[in-house]
Amino acid sequence: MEQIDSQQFQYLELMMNPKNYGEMQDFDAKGYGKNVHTGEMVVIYLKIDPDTQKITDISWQTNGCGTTLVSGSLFSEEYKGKTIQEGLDFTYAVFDKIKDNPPPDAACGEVVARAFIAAVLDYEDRKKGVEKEHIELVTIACPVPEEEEK
Amino acid sequence: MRELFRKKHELWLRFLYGAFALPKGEEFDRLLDFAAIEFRHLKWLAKEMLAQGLDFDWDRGQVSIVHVTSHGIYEALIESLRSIERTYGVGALFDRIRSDEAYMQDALERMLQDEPIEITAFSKSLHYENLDGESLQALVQFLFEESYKEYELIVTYFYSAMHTDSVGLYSIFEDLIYESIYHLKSFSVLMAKLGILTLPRTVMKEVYKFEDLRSFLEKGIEEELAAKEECKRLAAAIKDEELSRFFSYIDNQENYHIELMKEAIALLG
Repeated sequence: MEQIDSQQFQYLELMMNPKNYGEMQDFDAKGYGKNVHTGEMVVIYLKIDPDTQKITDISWQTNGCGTTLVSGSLFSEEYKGKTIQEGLDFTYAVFDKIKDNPPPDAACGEVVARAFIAAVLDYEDRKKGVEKEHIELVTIACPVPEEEEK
Repeated sequence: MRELFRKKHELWLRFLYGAFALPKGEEFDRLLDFAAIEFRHLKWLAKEMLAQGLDFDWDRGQVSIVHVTSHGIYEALIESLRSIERTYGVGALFDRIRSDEAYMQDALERMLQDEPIEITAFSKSLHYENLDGESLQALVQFLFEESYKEYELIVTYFYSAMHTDSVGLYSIFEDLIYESIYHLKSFSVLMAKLGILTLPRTVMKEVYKFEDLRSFLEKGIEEELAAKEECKRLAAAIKDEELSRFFSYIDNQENYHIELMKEAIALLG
C-alpha cells in the first residue's frame, strides 16, 4: 500500500468501481463523444426533469483508457443534480482547464465532456420530435482530420 | 433465449474470475476448466439463437466476484448453477448443458468438503516484491487497461465469428479469442497477486456491433502496435526480471496477432 499515494489510490478505486457506469434503457437523451485518433468513445445517457431541467440520473459507458474511466466517474458525479445549463457551464469550464494539459490526458477528459454536449443536443432535438445519433468529436486535445469533420 | 445468454455470460465470468481469485493449484485448474466449458456453451447457444433468427448481446447484470474464502466462491457458483438450471429448455443442447452443470455442481459440493482457502485477490495489498512506486503504478495502470481490452477483444471476436460465413475468418477469430483468453488470464492472475482483481466493465454494443469489419481490423492492428509499445516500455521500466521477461513475451505474441489480422483483411478482398 505504501507504494501508492492516496490520490492514486482514489483513482484506483474509480477504475475498479467506476461511478454511474452502465447502459440506461429509459433515457431522455443520449450522446456520443469520440476521439477519432484513438477510437476512444464515450456514450452518456441522461434522465432529465422536464419542469426543472435538472439532470436526475446519468449513466455512461466507454471503451477508453483508465484516465477516461476516472474522468467519466468524476464528471458524471458533477453533472448529476445540475440543470442542463449548469452542466454546460461546467463542461465549458472543463474545456478551459484541459487545454493546457498534455494531449493524451486532455483528450480523456474532453471525450467525456463532448459526450455530454452531444446528449444535450439530442435532448433539444427530441423535444422537437427529431431522433438522430449525436456524436461530438474531440477537437481541443487533438485536431480532427479533415475527412472526419462534420 | 437472450436473457439466458446473458445469464450464461455471467456464469462464465463467475467461473473464470472464481478461478483467477484462487491461488494456482488443483482448484484453480478445475474452475478454469469449467469456465472453458461454459464458454463453449455460450458459443453453441449463440449458434442456436442465430439459427432461430435471434441475435445475442454482451449485456449483463451485477456479478459479484468478491469472496473471503474459496467456499464463498463455490457456494455462489452452486447457487448460480441451481438458478440457471430452471431456465433451460428441451433438446440436445440443453441436455448437454444440464449434464455438464450437474457434474460441475457435484464437483463444487465435494470441493466444499475441503479446508477453505483464504482469498487475497481483493485485498488491495498493492505489493509486488522488487517493484518501486513508479513501476508499480505503471503495472497497475497497464493491468486495468489491458485486462478490459482483452475482455473486449474476446466478446468482439466471438460476436464477429458468430456472424461470419467465411471459414477462414472464423478460424482467425477463434485463434484471436483463445489468445485473448490467455492474456486475460495472465493479467488477472497478476491483478489477484496485487489484490486488485476486478471484473472488466461491460462492453458497449457500439464496440462489437460494428458495420465495417475492415476498419475494425485496421484499428485493431493500430491498437496491437500500441499494446506492443506499452509492453516494451513496461519490460524496460520494471525492475523485476521475471515480470520484464513476461512483458517481452506478451509483446512478441502481439506480432502474430497483427499477422492474423492482416490475413483477415486479405480474406475480405
